[in-house]
Amino acid sequence: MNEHRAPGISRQGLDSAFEARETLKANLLLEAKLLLDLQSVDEAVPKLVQAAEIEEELASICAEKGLREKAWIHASSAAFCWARVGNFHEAFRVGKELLADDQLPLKLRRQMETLTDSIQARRVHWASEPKLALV
Amino acid sequence: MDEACDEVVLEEAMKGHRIAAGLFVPFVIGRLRGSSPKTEALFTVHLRDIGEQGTQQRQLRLQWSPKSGVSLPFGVQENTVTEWAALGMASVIVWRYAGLHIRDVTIPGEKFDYWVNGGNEDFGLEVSGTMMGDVESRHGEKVRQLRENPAGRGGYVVVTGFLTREVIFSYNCFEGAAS
Repeated sequence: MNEHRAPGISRQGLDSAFEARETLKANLLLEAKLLLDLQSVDEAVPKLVQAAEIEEELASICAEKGLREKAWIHASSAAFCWARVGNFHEAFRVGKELLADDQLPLKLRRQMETLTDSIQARRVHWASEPKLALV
Repeated sequence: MDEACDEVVLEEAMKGHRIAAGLFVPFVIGRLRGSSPKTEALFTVHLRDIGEQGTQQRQLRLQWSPKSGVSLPFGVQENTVTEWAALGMASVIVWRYAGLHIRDVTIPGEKFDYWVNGGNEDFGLEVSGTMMGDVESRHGEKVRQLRENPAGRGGYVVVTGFLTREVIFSYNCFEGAAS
């Protein structure tokens, strides 16, 4: 319809099973957002966790099919979902995996560096926090 | 000059999307109806590089069923009602004027992004709504925000002025912005 527009992000070769998972994830995020707006954090968190897991699955499928850009988008969304629910270990892992890709666009690289640096700083703080000592 | 008036039923427009866009319906009605029993609203829609290069202007008559609204307070802040109503308006506009479907939602940091689908490609979508008269400046702000998207790709912006009853819907191409 828009013949003059530049190419978008390719989803060539993705099947209906992928689309179904993508739709499920999108609706989980929408529901989570509404719940967060209603201050229902405890109800939002399980939806964000499920969304993060699906985002990683979608990123993996896209990477296998050579849809690199789409894989990056799903993986970065997964990292932020994990961070939003307080699972910094998973957020850091996904962020570092993205940063290991030398083709990652600069803006996304900066975003992931900000996320992982922030988590790293918190880790250092928590590791030295006496009240959190295990013994 | 007489302009063609496009008629859209709100609830029908929401069926054209992959996501559960029906969630937005009560918010749109809440913003457009207020406490009145109205079941329609007339908008001026400014299309910029949509379908063809350049600017076009359309009149849109948006109608809804009185059964779709909610009479209870939403339990969220006013700006949240406007944000969700703006998402509902964007769902109507991208479907009606560009044949696009909202397909996906992501969480980059503190804000949500939307992806619309046209054929075998996804495009970014920035959405905003305002209860002030600042539709043009808000649109400029959203275009700048779209330009900052980590994917570095062009995409669409929809800004709805609920007070002024106008919408700006634009396609924005950022050549060389990928990195």
